[in-house]
Amino acid sequence: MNIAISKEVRLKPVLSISHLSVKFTGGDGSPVLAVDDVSLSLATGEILCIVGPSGCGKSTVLNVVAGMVRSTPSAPVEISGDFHIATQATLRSRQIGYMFQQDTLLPWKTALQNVMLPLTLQGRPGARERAEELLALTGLEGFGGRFPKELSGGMRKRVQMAQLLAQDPEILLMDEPFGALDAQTRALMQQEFLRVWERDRKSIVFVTHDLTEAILLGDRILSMSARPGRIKREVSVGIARPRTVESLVGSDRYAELHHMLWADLQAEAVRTLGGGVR
Amino acid sequence: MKRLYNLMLRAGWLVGLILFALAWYAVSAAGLVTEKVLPSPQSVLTKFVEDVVSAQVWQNIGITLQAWFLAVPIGYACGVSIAFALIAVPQVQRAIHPYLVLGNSIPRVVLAPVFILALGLGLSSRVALGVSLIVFPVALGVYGGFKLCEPALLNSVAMFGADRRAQWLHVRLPAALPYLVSNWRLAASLGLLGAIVGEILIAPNGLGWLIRIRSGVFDVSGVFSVLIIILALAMIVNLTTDAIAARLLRWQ
Amino acid sequence: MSLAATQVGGAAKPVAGRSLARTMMLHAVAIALTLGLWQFVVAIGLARELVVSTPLRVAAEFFAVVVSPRTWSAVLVTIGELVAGLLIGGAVGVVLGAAFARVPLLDRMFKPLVLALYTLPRLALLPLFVVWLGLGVESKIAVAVIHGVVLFMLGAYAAVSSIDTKLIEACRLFGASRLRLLALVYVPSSVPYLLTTVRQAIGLALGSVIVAEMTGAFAGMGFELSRRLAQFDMTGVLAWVVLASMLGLALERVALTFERRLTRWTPRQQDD
Repeated sequence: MNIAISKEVRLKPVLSISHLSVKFTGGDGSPVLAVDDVSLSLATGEILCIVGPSGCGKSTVLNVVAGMVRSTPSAPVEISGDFHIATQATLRSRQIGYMFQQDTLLPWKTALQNVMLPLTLQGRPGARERAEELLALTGLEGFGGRFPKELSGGMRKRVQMAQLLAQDPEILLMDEPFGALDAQTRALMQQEFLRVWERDRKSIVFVTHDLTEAILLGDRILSMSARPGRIKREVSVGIARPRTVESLVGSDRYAELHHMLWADLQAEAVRTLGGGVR
Repeated sequence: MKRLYNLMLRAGWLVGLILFALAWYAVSAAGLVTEKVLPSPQSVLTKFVEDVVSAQVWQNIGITLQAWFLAVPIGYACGVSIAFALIAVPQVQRAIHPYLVLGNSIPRVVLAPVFILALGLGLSSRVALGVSLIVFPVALGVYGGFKLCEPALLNSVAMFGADRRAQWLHVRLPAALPYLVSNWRLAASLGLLGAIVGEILIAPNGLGWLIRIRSGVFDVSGVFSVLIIILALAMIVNLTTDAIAARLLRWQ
Repeated sequence: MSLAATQVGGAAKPVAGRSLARTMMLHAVAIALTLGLWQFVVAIGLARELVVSTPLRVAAEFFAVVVSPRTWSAVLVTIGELVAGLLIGGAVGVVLGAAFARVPLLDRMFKPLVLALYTLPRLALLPLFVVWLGLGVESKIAVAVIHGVVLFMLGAYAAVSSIDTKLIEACRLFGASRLRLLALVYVPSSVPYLLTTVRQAIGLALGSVIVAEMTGAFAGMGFELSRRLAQFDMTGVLAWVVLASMLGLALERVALTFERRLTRWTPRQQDD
C-alpha cells in the first residue's frame, strides 16, 4: 500500500511490540496458540485500529500490553516476545488506560464518584472539580449524582470515557468499547469519541470488528487472521480529519478500504469453517 | 366490581388479617374447639396486653435478647472473617472449605445437648449453639459473594492504579455488600433460633422457657402471646436490617 | 518496560490424580492431629473426661450404638416422622405456593401471615403441637409439616412466578390445553426449584424433628439423645450427634443425586 502516511504517524512510537506470541492452555489441556508473532508500533497521537474475526486474539494483544494476562498453575500462559512503552513514568496504571466492552463502571458509585475514582486513587488534588469538568465535556452535566443503573447504555459509555480522561494515560487501549451498544447509539458515541480525542490526541489502540468504525476512527488499520492471530495486512486510512460518518461512507477511499478489509475477514471465515482452526 | 377488586389488592394485607381474625373468632365462638385447644382471639389479646406490662415477661425477653444479640455479632464476625480468609489465602480455602460444606449440611441444632453438657444451662451454651448455627452458612454465603466479583471491574480499577487494599475497598467489599446484608439477616434468624431452642430444651429462663412452662399447664393463650412477642422482636430486627440495607444498596 | 522472551508458569502443571491423593493425605493428617490433641488434652488432665469425653471413647460408643438394633428402630422412627411430615407439608405447601403465585389477590391478602410464619423460629411452635397432639409421633410430624408447608410454599411460589410467560403463550399457540400446559411447562420448570427445596427442607426438618423428640417423646433419635443428656453422658451424646450428622449428610447426598439426575437439562450452576 503506497498511500501517503500522515505526519503524526512518523513520530517516534510510544508503544512497540515485536514478535509477540501467546500460548494458552485450552479446555482439554492442550496448548492453544492464540497470538502468533505479532509486531506493531503505535505512534504518538495516532489511532491504530485492529480488526479481525472474533477469537483472533486481538483482545489478547491488548490484555498482554495492559498486564492483565496472568499465568496461574491451573491455567498456564506462555508469553514470548518483547514490548516497549516509551514514557517517562514507570507506573503502569498512569501510562495505560483501558476501555472494556463490558460496563466497568462501579454500580455502587455515582457517575461523579466513578469519574473521581482514578483521580483519588492517584491522590490528585481537586478531584471533584476535575470530574465535574469532564462530565460536562462528555455531555453529562447534571447527571453526576446518578447511579449507573439510572443511566442509558450510551450515557454509561460517556461516563467511562470521562473516567479515562480523568485517568489521563499516555496510551489508551480500547477493546470494542462500543460493541454492546445499538447501532444509533454506537454511531453517536463514535462521533463523540472523535470530538473528545481531537482535543488532546491521545495514542490509541482500538480493537473492533466493525469495519466502518475502524475506517472512521483509525489512522492505520491492522487486519488479523483467525486463530492463531497473525497480522495479515496493514493499511493507512489516509482520509483527512475531521471525519464524519456521512462524509465518509460516500467516499471512494472508504469503499476501497471496506472492500479490501471485508475480503480479508471473509477469507478468514472461510478458512475457519474449512476446518483449519489451529 | 373491578374497583372493589383493585381496592382489595391495595389494602389486601389488612383484609387478609381481618378475614383471618374473623375466621379464628368464628371457630372459637361456635364452640367447635375448647379454649384449651384454640383460645379465642380476645383471650390471646388480653393475655398479650397483660404480658406486655408484666415485669416477669420483660425479664425473660431480656434473657432471650441477651443470647440472641450475643450470638449474632459473634457468629457473623466469625463467618465473615472465615470468608475473608478463604478468598485471600488459597491455602486456607483448600484446607477448610470442605469442612465448611460438611458442617453446613449437618443438622447443627442437634449439637444443643453437647453445648449444654459442656457449658451448662446458662447463657453461654445458648450463645454457642447460635454461633454454631450461624458460622457455617454465613462463611459460605459471604465467600460466594466475594467470589462472584466481576473480574473486569477488578481489572478496570487496577488500571486506574488501585492496589490490593483499594481493590477491596472500592470493588470487592461493595460488590459483596448484598451478600453481607442477606447473610446478616440469616444470622439474625439463626441466632434467635439458637436462643429459643436452648430455652425450650432445658434453660431455666427466657421466652422459650416461658413457652415450655405455659404449655405445660395448658395455658395456650399464654403460649400464643409469647409467640406474638417473639414474632414482634424478629420483625423489629428484620425491619431495621431492611431499612439499613435499603440505604446501603440504593445503587442496586 | 520490557518483557523479553519470558516464560510464565509453562511447566509446573499439577498432575490431577497425584495432587488429589496429596490433599486427601493432608486432610487425614489434620483430622488425626485434631483427634490426637483432644485425646492428649484429656490424658494430661487439662480437660475432664466427664465433660469432653475422648475420641476413642466416642468411637467405641459409636460402634456400640451402630450395632444395636434398638438404634435402628430409633432412626426409623425419626425418618418416618420426617418423611411423613414433609410429604404432607410439601403437598400443602406446593398447592398454596402455586395458588399464591397465580392469584395476586391471595398473595396480597395472606403474604404477611406467611411471612410471619417464615420469620418465627418454627421450633417455637413445638410446645403448642405437644399440647394439641401429645408427646407421640404426631407432634413431631407436625413440626416437619410446618417446615414443609413454609419452605415448599416459598419454593413453589418462586418456581411458578419465574416461569417465562412467553413459554406459556407459545404452548397455548400450539394448542396446548390447560392440563397439557401443566405437564409441559409448569411441572418441568418447577422441578429444579422444588428439588432444591427438598434438600433444604430435609436438612432443616431433620434437626427440628430430633430437637422435638428431645423435648419429650417415647422413641426416636432425639429421645435417645435426651436420655444421655439427662445422664450427663457426653460420650453417648457425641456418638448420637455423629450418627445424626451422618444421617443428615446421607439424606442430603441422596437428595442432591436426585436433583442432579432430574435437572440435567438446566444450565449448569456452580456448586456450593
